[in-house]
Amino acid sequence: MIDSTGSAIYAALNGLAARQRVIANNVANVETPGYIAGRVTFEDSLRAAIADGDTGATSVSTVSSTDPVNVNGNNVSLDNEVVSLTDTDLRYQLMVQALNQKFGLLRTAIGGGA
Amino acid sequence: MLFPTFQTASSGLGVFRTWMDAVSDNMANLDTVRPTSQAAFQARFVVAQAIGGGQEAMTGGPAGAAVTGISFGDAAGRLVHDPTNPLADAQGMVRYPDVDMGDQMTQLMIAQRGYEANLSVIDRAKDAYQQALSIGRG
Repeated sequence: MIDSTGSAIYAALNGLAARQRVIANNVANVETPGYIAGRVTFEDSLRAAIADGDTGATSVSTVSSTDPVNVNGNNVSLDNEVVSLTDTDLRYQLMVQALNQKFGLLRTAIGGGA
Repeated sequence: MLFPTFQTASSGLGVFRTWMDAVSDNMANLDTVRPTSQAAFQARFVVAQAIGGGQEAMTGGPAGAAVTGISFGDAAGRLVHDPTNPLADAQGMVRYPDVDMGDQMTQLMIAQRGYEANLSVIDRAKDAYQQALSIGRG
């Protein structure tokens, strides 16, 4: 996507959207017996990919939470999920703004500063 | 799926609403009397399972929770001595359901909180999707 800045932002948006979907799944299963919460990680991979100059190599992975389970074998913590959802939302908005700023720069360049 | 988070959260809403339906059925039949020759009203318990795992949720595949069955409480209920009841047998016994009001109220609260949690996920997801739709508008 255009250049490395754009594709880094794109990779981050992808990872955050995946995290949002996994959080929704965790909340939907907040009382399901035996359900283990999922956690999405992509930040380390993105950091390494940016260092290598190939942001397209960012991988988004879901791992099972290692939090202790309660009596029905479920380990979803609703407060953790809501905090994480708020965090993910704000990061997502930040990335959307960054992408729009990037497009603004491009528009200025296309218009020749006119 | 265009907006997968909505589907996931609404599957959760479905589970918790079904749970509330079951609780209200149990509460409505709290004092349902049966003759001793019949089975007592059996409490309804909702059985829920996760659809897929975390991996499916990440790729936008099917995710969420689903009601996979209903299990029933004790059919024996509890025998109560009530000779004035028209349903009483020769010994004056009738059968009441084995439903505990405190237990049902607790379940109702859990189900209600779960429903609210899924609603708030839908609310947040809507904000995020609206942001995504604004990409490139500058």
